[in-house]
Amino acid sequence: MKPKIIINPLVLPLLIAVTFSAASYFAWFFRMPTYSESNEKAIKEVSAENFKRAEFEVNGVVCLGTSKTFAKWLNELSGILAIETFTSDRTVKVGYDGSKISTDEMIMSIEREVSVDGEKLKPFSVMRYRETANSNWIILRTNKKTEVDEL
Amino acid sequence: MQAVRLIFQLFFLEIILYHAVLFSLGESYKNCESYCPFGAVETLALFVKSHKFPCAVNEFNYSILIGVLLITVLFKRAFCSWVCPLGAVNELITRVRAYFSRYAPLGEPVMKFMYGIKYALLAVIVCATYYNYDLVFRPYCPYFTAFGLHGHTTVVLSYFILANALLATFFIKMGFCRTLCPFGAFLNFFNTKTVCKIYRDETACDGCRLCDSVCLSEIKVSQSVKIESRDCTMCLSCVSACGKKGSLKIGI
Repeated sequence: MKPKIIINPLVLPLLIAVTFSAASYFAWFFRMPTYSESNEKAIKEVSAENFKRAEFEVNGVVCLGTSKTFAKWLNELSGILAIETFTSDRTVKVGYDGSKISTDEMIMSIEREVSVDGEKLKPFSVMRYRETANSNWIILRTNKKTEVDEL
Repeated sequence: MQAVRLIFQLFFLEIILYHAVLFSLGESYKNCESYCPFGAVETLALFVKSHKFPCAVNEFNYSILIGVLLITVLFKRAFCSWVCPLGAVNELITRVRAYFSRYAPLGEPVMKFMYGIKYALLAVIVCATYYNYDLVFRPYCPYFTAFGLHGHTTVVLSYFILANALLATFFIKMGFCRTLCPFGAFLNFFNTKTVCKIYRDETACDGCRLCDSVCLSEIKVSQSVKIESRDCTMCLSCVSACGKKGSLKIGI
């Protein structure tokens, strides 16, 4: 039996190469937060000059569960208005009231120690952060190994 | 063509191992799990339900899954023989094992039963993931155990399962891929009426059966006019080996 259209076998590796390159691009283009929450009412009440958006690269935000824990810890502070976590690159975007809280206070809260089975652990550590989307990154650490991995 | 395929297999194997090493050294956030399309299959029902990425799965896993499905609809399970690192390891074991002695045929009833295992595994994994809201299969996943470089859920049982999964290949040609791989079972649902197939020109074929002997999935290529078997992974071994050049062609 002869096919209606003959395909060159080289089309297959070419298709695989193109598809996987496109898949990587597609993933970054349609980036979706793993976890997101926002207090719309509070955002409306904050003046435009006080509303700020900081971005953190947080080692330890690896899944939906850790994202929820992270958000819970951050929400204990006053002035947090919106949180978005992206586990693919461990990025967290935080909308906050600049008159009530600073990034340093947030980092202090994020990097707290907890006790797991009698062992003290620091589940989250900020690798780098920036005050706004356009400002430069401030690098705090470079080793991306989490303490959660050691568990 | 087999050289091109080997380059592809080595390239993807190298990428996975490279990221696994970087991850274990604390240099990267991506490990073998980040590139696994089966993670997306496991959590698809949860994602549809909650519109959130469950556990460690993210948009990268889903976009790779979409890419793999596109390849499958066009070129059968080409992912298994061209991309999958575990498939490459299985092929290596198969080739080494076949070099020493021929695989003994197991008989159709046994093989039918064996083929069913991967579908049962797929159903169990998808249901368990859905009800536990977690990648519960991860500690038992041979891919994660093999390429996760002792990832955080890997236990002694994980290595035992990996060893047994690879052991299957000593008794059945490409044993793990054909009888145990749940992702292969999932891809088979999209592998029935593919766009491109391998066609055998009966008038050009001299019946040497070289194609049958090199087929990794033990498909009787010489007895078909077009290969519609779900087991075909488009490795193109038959096309490359064909003594009568031109009697086996890829076409629509």
